[in-house]
This record gives sequence, C-alpha cells and structure tokens, in this order.
Amino acid sequence: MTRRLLLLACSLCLMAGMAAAVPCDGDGDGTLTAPELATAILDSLDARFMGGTVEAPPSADLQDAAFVHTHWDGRALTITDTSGRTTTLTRPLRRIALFNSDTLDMLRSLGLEPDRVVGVSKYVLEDPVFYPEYQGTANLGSTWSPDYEKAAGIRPDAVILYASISESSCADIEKTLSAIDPEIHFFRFDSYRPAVYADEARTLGLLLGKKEEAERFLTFYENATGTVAEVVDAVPVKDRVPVYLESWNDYKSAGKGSGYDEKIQLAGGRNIFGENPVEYPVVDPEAVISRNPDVIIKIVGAGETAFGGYSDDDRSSFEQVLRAIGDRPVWNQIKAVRDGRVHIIHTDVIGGPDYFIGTAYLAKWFYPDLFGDLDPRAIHQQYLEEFQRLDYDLDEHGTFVYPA
Amino acid sequence: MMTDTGRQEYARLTEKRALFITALIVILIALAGVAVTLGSADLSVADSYLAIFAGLFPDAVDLPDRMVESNAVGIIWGWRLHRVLFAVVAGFGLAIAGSVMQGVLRNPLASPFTLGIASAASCGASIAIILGAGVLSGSLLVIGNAFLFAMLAAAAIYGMARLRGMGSETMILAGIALMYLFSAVTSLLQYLGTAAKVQEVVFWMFGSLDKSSWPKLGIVTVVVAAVVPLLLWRAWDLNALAEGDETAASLGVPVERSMAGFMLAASLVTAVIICFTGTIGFIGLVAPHITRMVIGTDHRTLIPASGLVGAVLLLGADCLARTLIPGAIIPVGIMTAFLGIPFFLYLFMRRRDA
Repeated sequence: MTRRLLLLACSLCLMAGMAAAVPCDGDGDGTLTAPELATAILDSLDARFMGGTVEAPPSADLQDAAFVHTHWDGRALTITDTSGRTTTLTRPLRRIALFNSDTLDMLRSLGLEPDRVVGVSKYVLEDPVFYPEYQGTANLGSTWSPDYEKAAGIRPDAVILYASISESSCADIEKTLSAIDPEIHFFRFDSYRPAVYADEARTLGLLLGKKEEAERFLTFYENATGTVAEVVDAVPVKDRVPVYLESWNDYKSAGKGSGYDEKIQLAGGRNIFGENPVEYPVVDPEAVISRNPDVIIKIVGAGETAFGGYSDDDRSSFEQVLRAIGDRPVWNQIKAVRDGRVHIIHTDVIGGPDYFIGTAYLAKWFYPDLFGDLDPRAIHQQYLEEFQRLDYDLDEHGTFVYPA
Repeated sequence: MMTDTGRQEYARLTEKRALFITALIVILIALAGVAVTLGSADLSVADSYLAIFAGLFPDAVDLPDRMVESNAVGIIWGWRLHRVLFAVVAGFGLAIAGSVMQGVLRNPLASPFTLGIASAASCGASIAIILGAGVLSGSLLVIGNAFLFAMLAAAAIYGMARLRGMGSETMILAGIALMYLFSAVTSLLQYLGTAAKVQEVVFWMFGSLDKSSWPKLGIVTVVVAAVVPLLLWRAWDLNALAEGDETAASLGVPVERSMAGFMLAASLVTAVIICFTGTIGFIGLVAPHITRMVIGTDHRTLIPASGLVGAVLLLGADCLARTLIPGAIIPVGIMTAFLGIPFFLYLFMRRRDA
C-alpha cells in the first residue's frame, strides 16, 4: 500500500516536472540552446515589428528564457536549501517575499535588485536607517504573527523563511500560504550561521543569477574570516583566552552548541560556560567570579539594552553598561574587570549575517598582540559600502563597540 | 391560581429563551457576513462576495483581472472563510465545554483554565516547540502534544477525583494544582529556551486563529457536532446534578458516571479546539455566565445558547483583532479577554444592582 502511494507520488512529481518546462525550449528536450533562444527572439521581433505570422512567445517567456540561458546554462535548476529540500525551477524568481531579514541582508550582499523583493518582515520596515530601499515594500508581519492576506495578495513566486529558528511557525506559514496559492515556492535559509553561511551565499547566487557577485562577496567574507582563523589556529588549546560572554539579559550566557559559543571559538577564545548543556543558561554570578575570565563580552541591542546600532550615535548607554558590570559585587576582582578587558558589542555585528565583523572584533580583543593589523572597523565599512550598498559612514554614525 | 402564575411565568421564560437564541443566531450570521469582508487584502465587500461565488461556481463568475491578479479567490477560500467558520465552531465548542464544566462541578469558576486543561496544553506545546520532543512529528508535533497533554490533565483530574471521592471541590482543587504544575514546567522550559523559541511559545499561548485550515475546521466540527447532541440529550442529568449529588441520585441519575462522562466530553471538545488555536482565554468561563444571567440555568437551553454566545464573542473578537491595527493581527486570545470581560462585568454589576 505504502509502495503504491509512493509510486503515485513519484509519478505525480514527474508529471509536475514535465508540466513545468523551460520556456522557449523549442524541441522540448529540457535544454534551451542558443539557437532555440535566437529563434524565439527573432520570431518575437518578426511578429512585433515585421508583421510576421509565426506564433511568437510572450515577452515574459522571452525574458525568463534569456535568464535561464544566461545563468542556468539553459536548463532547469535544481537547488537544495538549508533544510535539505530540493526545488526545481524552470523560470527565474522575480517576486520574492522574505520573512527572514537575515537572508535579505545576504541578498543585498549578492547585489539583488531591490525591485525583485515584493514583501519583507515588519522588522525590516521598522529599521529605515539600515533598509532605506525597502521602506515602501509590503509588510508581511513577523514569523510568529504573519499577515497571510498581504503575503498572498502580493503574489510572490518565492517565499523565504528561516531554516533553523521558529521551525513550527515557519511550517505553519508554508502550509497556510500554499493552501492559498499552491504555486509559491518555499525556501529555507538562515544566513546567520557560520557553518552554512558560504554555502547559502553560493546557492542563493545561483538561484538568483548572481553567481559572480556571490563569488566576489565570498572572497571578501573568506578573507575576513580566514585572516582570523589562520592566526587563531596556531594558538594551542591550553593557551586560549578564557571568556565570559553575556547577552542582553544580565547573567544570561551561552552554553554548548549555541551561536555565541561558536563565535567565541571562531575568534580563538575559550568560553568559560562552553560545557554547559543548556544553550543559553542563566549563570550564577559566583561561577563567573570563580572561573575568573580574562575577557568579558557583553552583547547589547535588544531587550533592556535596546540601544546602539545603526540608528543610535550616542555612546553614553554603552558606557553605563560597562560601568554597571564593574560595579557588580566582587566583580572588581575578576581578571577581565581588573585589566580593563570588558568589551560591549552590539548584536547587529555579531548576531546576524554580519557576524564575521563581530568575530574580528572578538579576535582582536582576545589577542591584541597577534591582531595588531586587523581592522574590524574597516571590514565593517567595506561591507556596508561595497556589499550592503549603503551610504553610511561609521566615523560619523552608529555605535557598535565600546570601548571603541 | 399558583400553578397558573407558574405556567405564565414559564411561558414567559420560554419566550424569552427563544427570543434570545433567535437574536443570537441573527447576530452570528450578520457578524459572519461582515467577517468575510474584513482583512488586510485589498478587497471590497462586493469583491469578497464575488470571490466566494467564484470559488463555488468557477464557470459562472467572470472575475475582473485585478481580482485574478491579487489572488482574491485564493485569499477568501484558502484563508478567510475557514477562519471565520473556525471562530464560530471553536467559540461554540469552548463555551459549551465551559457551561458543562460549571454545571457538573456546580462552581462558577470552573473552566478549562481553572481545571488545568489549558495550561497542560500549553505545556505540551512548549515541550514540542522548545525541546522538539513529542508523540507526533512534523507539523503535527505541536498539535499532538497539546492535545495529548490536555487529555492527560483531564484524565489526571478524573483519576484523583476518583481516588479521593468525586466531589466538585476535589476536582477543582486537583485542577488548580495541576495548572500550577504545568505552568511551572512551561516556565522552566521558557527559562531554558532561546529567545526565538520562547517567542514562539508566547505566541502559541496568546491563542490565535491564524493556524486554522479546512482540515482542522473539519476535525473540530466533527467533534463538536458529535458531542453537542449527546450533551443536549443528557441535559436533564445536568439540571439534576446542579441541584446536588443527593438530589441527582434520588432522581435516578448515576452521579459518578454522569459526572465523569460530562467531564470527558467537555475536556475532549476543549482539547481538540485549543490544540489548534492555542489558549483562547475566557470564552469557556464568560459565555456560560452571560447566558445564565439572561435566560437562567436550565441546561437544555443554556448549553446551545451559551454556545452561540461563545461563537459571537470569539468571532467578534477575531473581527476586531484583524482590523484594529491595519496589517497586524492581534492574537484573538487577547481580544476575547478585552471584549468579554468588560461585558461580563457590566452584566454582573447590573444584576447585583437589581
């Protein structure tokens, strides 16, 4: 019974695959060759300007065919997203809706034309400084509270959701939207996880016809991460700097397998709570004192510490956070506090797709002698100007680290 | 003479009940008619109805291009219609479950919430969301856990009451104790979870009709449709139980068995609804009270009437939830409280004055 169902499912898939063919593929062999495309273009020109009677393809087909020929070698593209799902496309994606704002940053790094994005999450619209070009775009709400009518009404051909966070909410969105419009393609990407970052950029580059741009961006990215990794790898494990990291809630640290733990390791530190089985444990202040870290990293930018970042030029709040850490009872005896090695960093440069800027800062703070030449601020500026295509001067605006 | 007055009084009451139920049905239909035209998609009232007909008779209706472009039929049929119907059925079911629980336990505070069933469902959902552990997998993970835990809580209350004797105080105390236990587990999970997962749990607990779909509506409708006639058939037992266990027993009602049966039916209806919606507060508590204030405590009419009040309340709350802030949907669980509680308090105060 199961086998029969499986067979049925397979044949349905095959039929679906056959139904969606590459446009203007004259002989229907699944590959659009240069002569086929040329014929289609000539037919269309003939029909439009010369009074030709040959049945010409509609101009949308022609545009799609040209894209497939240029970027996908004239064949249907099968890609695998971060959740492991494969999708086959015979036409480019022209109307993309993103619930995942991290992937929006990545698409920007790949030079995606903003008019191909038709819907964004409310967080994008709440941040006009970082996302000026998307302020008029349709508001899809958030992953937890999506606006389905808006999302379906803008007729996206692709909806991009997170792969590794809010899994059940994302699954609900997929189910509901595909019930409204079965033609939408769904993709799952994270765009904030170091482990899949480069692969995702490559996949998205291929998907959107931005292969070269993706390579150019990855050269920049791998240069930044590689510089750090090369030096850090040479530091023996026993000599690694013990670090206490605290997120925006007081004493909420990062345990085994968490994103912050991974970033401490990438920057060559040893997380003093790296063995804690809870991903984001709230730790006992005494445990921090007794483990006596060399460096303390405090992340701000959310919760009670919702300041700093791109739209805040005032450093006084960072100063207060720094002072408060030193003022915690008995913390003045912790090595990091005594030596003035407490650093505040904003989540915008460590929690998301620009995490590699943050790890560069961490590496420099962990090993100031080894990274004398490393300039995280310059990496940040280049990222903003060249890849995020933002007119933003870090010398004049924003607060990301303290002490700078 | 006495009997005449009594008869007249009863006739008046019957008329009042009929009037109340008719009025509720009219309001409900009108509200549903309005509800399908509300939403963030750019569809006028006429567009919405045209899309409904276009879905029913695709060949007969000639849709304008702009409606084809904005996928009006998909939005109405794939999203709005089942949501509106879901609100009606879920409100109906929750209110009925509440009125049965209050009747059986003879306690105005009894509801799926005070009995721990809702917090058990939240706990099950949290385990699914934060730990990814559950009885079913994929998109049924959260739903399966919520349902299972809600039924477990009901069984536990029943079991404890069985051991200690089936008093209504016993059940309520057991329920409140369970509520605290399950809430503690949920809090612990939230404490350990990542910010994104905690956010997901919080949104689940708000209660929302966002997750409605045709198959889910089908399941809920089948369960409600199966349970309601049963309850109506046994409504006399509820009336007898409401007079006290001894009275009921002397009237020939098998007290323990009936209580257990009623509680099971009410728990099942509640569990099957809240496992899909999350915890929708107060409908089960408020709707029966409102109804009782207007038409009295005869369960033969109280049950269907409070069901209708519940449906009107939930659908009304959902309409407001979808329109109050354009483009954003306020979770309906929050809206029902905003809408239901002031109305409830108003009736409550007025009755005391009189």
